[in-house]
Amino acid sequence: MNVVDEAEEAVRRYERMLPRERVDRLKRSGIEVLASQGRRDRELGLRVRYDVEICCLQAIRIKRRDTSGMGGTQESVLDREAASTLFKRIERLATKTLYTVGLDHGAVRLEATGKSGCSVISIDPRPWKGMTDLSAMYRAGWKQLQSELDEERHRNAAPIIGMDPEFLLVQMPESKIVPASRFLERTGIAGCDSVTIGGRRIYPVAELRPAPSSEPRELLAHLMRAFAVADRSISDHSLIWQAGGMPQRGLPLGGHVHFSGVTLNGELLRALDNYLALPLAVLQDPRGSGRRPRYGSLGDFRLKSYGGFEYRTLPSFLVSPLVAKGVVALAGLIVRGYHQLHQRPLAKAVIHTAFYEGNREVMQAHIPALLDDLMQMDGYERYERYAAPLISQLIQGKTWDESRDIRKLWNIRAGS
Amino acid sequence: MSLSHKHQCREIITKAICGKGRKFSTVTHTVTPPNGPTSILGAWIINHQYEAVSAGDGIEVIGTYDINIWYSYDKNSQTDVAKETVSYVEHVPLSYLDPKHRAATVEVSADATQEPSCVEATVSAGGSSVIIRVEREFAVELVAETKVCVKVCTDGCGDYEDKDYDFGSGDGDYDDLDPDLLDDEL
Repeated sequence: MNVVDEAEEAVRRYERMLPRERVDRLKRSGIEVLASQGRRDRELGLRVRYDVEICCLQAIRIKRRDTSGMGGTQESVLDREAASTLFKRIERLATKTLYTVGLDHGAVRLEATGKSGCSVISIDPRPWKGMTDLSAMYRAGWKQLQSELDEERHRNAAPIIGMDPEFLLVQMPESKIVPASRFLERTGIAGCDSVTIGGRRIYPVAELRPAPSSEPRELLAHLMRAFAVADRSISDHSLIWQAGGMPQRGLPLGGHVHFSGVTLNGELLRALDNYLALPLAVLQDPRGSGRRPRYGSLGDFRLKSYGGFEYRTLPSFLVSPLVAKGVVALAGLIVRGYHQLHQRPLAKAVIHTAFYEGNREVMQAHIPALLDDLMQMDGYERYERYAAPLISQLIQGKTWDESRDIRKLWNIRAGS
Repeated sequence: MSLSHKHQCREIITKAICGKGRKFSTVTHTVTPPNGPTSILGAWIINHQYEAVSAGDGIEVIGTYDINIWYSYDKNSQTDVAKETVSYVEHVPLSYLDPKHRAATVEVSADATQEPSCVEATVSAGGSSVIIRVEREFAVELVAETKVCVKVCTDGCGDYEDKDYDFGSGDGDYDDLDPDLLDDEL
């Protein structure tokens, strides 16, 4: 199916979805929606409004209608470069909104509100209808995506995979988080990452940034090298290292996977959500499910300056080598052959709910069929060594324990 | 890092950007006009002025702006513009700070990457004042003298083709890093 047919098919699926279900999906994903009743009930006043046109998961135009009330100056078009943070923030919310209801293209009207920054007012699933300047912009976007996808299929090169998973340093037995910045620099193969609490930026999280590779084994060797660098830098060996979704309350951890040499598109994100994030959510320690929906929502991606993109939905898979190897293998498998993967259990409201609520039993029922698809894929043998142990654990319905010290599993000897 | 004998490193002292930070924030102001507002007809921010000062682990942006609210009162029979000057101090943390910078030489600057703008203006629940929500964003920089390590070409700046820079990553130290040797345990 080509890009245009997929877009029209997605609109038909959207139109079959009940309005209530659309709103529920958005709310579960952490997106605030102002239905007409809500709009009537709130205080009188003026609010900034954004009309966002999204094509291929990116904004092609953001119109802002401001509060000045001064006639002709009320409406302006945001410039991606000039208003970079504002543009990105609005673009991200609009893209996420559409993706959550199954669309990669469409228009979203947002309005500034007190609680969360912006709420969704309405969605237009087919803003390209008719022969307008806007429809020409959409057609140009689709044409470019189609040629990139065609070229990629023709080239058939292995995508390059990278990662920046996180872990925490914890003082036991009181379970006190020790900032990683005490031992690690901001940058480097083993560095630290920031969170802002009460206006102060602190660096509590350790992050490994191994060199990328198109070979799973090589990428994992790079990861072990990053672990070794971290081990040499973290001189306090009494601290334990924890990973997973949220091993310590209030500090959610991510296992971001980076891809380059593959074109970002909605079907690839949906394949990653259904065939990687969903199985991993079944395996996840139930204690980590509080990470969502603020972090780790479905289809969460960021475009990167190197030309690729980062998939941000997964928790920190450093929780064990088995999980890390499995993630690297499945990510490689999916990104190379996602057009062979057609199941979308997360499109069903019940599975979508189970994912965000961490209801393992409901999700578990769908896992065997997904795993079957993965094992039937062309080229599975290439990834089997690292994928099979993870698949075996998934079939057994096990969960990891994110309270433990990950050093032993990674053969990191304190003081080595 | 190993270097061939042809290349040397030198430490030079230079003025450089030693710290950077960026902060987006949303703040709420309450403006009480002389007449109880019926509805808001317009709300905007003008005359923004600010300066940056060094403050502990970050940079403080100190500034002022005027809020203008065009509102109606007396059951929409009259209109007026309420004006209020707001002053603020925004602490912008540095996401990067060169630890080698010379503190005595520090100069700081700030740039409003997004001018303060009013995104929401509502009549308060009691009906006597107007709640204004303002978004603003600053990028800050800290410039100071610092030491920078540079590679020096001892034989001039001629042809680089035959230079054998070796950024040895010490691969030999990691020969035992084999992911296949790790236990398969969940």
